[in-house]
Amino acid sequence: MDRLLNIKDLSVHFKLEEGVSKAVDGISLAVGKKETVCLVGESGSGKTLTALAVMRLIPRPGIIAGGEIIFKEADLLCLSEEKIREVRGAEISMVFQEPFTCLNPVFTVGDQIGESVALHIGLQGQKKKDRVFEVLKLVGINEEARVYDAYPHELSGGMRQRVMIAMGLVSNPALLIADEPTTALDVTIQAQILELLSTLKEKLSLSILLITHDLGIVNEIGDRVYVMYSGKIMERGPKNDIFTKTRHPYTEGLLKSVPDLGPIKDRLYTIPGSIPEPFKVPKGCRFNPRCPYVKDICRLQEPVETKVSAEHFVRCFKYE
Amino acid sequence: MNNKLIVVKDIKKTFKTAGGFFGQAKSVYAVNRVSFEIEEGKTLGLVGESGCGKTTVGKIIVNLERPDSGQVVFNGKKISGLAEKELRPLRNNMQIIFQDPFASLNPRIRIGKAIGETLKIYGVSDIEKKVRAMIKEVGLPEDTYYRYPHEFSGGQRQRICIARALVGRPKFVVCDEPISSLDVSIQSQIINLLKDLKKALNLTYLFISHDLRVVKNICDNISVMYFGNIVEEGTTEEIFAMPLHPYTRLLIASVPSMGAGKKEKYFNRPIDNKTANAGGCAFYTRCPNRQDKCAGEIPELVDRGKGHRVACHLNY
Repeated sequence: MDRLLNIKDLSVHFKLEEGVSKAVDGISLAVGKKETVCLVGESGSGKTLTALAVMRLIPRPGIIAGGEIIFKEADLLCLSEEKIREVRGAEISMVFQEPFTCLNPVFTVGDQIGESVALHIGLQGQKKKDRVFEVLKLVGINEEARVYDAYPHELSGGMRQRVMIAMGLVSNPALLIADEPTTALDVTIQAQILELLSTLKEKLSLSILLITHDLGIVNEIGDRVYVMYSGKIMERGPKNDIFTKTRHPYTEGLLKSVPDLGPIKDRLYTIPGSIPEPFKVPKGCRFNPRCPYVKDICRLQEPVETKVSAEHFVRCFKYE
Repeated sequence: MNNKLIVVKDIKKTFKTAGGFFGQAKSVYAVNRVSFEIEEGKTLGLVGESGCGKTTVGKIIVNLERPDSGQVVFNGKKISGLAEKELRPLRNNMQIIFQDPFASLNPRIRIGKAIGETLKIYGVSDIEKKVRAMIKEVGLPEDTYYRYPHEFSGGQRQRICIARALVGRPKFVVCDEPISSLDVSIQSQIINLLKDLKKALNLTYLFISHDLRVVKNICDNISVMYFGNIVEEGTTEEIFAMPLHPYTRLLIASVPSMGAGKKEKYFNRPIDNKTANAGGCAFYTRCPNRQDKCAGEIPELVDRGKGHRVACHLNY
């Protein structure tokens, strides 16, 4: 597979008074060219930190404690601050969950996207404006002249998210990291944004790393899936394998607990308990206190990743 | 026929928008002639996009907002327009659970006290015993009583909010997006809890949500709202088996589906214009099947059998 992004054994630690919290604990993840990879998990599982590590934007007191992030043959973790800036926002763009907090309320949309155009591709004046119009059209905004002059508060949530995506696309990035891009949006608008991401992927040969907790979204647009729990990848593989040949009890629980439009169930399946706090990661398999198939060994030893099929891997003792 | 616990009749509510420096203040219809009934022991789902007025309806029913016109009848007693003093004894019978359990708990008040506060107001005896029983009932550990909100996760906080709403044994509860800020695995826990409590305490719910997947699993009846109007209503089975309004069909088609089966592809026009089409069908600007008639004539809710009602010109 042609790999655009290859994360190897990445760890992000937070050194706090209570001890060291291993928020991301040695994960490996790859995104191929023109591929949509979904990183799934509950809040607190470390998905956003993984994305921020790729951008080298880990907030203090967090540190990248180890690993490599290879993007187009260069290790992003070894680049100088100057060099990473050339990658950040230019070759890798990020779209966040809440489009309102990411836009500056006192500048127009045109100003803000224009700034990105000037910074990353050095266009000025009319050429700059043309490029802004172009990316606005690209994200499906038909009234680009009106939106150009609009302030963020004048736009709806869906439009703001389109603007954020447009801003990320000005310099033709190879990789778009979308962190829960539709969580704050209405369901009809969510469908539009997901559709937009799929179209852009085809049109611009874009690779997408999509972070989400909604398996419905994964099913709609994902190619491959990584299931993350408490800082570790528990299961990874092509979407269809994850959905139909589910191996890990956590993935199984997630799939079963999502309410669906299928037949009405009297009771929904639930995964008991909740994700451990980062300082109290259980010994052995970190999922063991919530696992319905827990065995003695799960409480003592941490399972290693085993192969299910060519591209499908799981970290669980159930299959040993 | 069951007792109709809640009857909402033609409620209207407008909000004034500030008109800027020189502009004129405008009125915006948040709720426009909404009527529905909820039978005792049933759950009605109120569905729609943000800004469609569903939360305002919930607030009007529990008297946190006053309607401009129309009325709410609770258990046979007309409650809109009552003075605060007369409302007090009724308030205990109706409670509301909000969306964000982080914003709705006071960080400096211990959980036991927060839950017990409602009881104190109504002068109930044995408060501590009742609060402790309620904490147990919503599945929280016993030591919750003396702890503070920050010690709890989102799901646990929502349990606390549920305990606080139910401790006074209300008959009717408005659940305003109670699970949309929670994780998937926690969402299902809370849905099951709400279902269990409904059975155990003989509750009636108005369940406000934009997530059809959740609504389908918890509601007996559904009302779909668009721009302050109810555009379709019926039993959950009817609405999902045979959605009639184009907006309902769009909503259903937009749900990210887990199944492998193909979904109805539905026309989904990106819109930014937040003002509805005045004088005609509010959905006109987004409707794929619109006709000339829809622009100039407001459709009325019409019964299409089995209590399934729809407001759309196209279905004649």
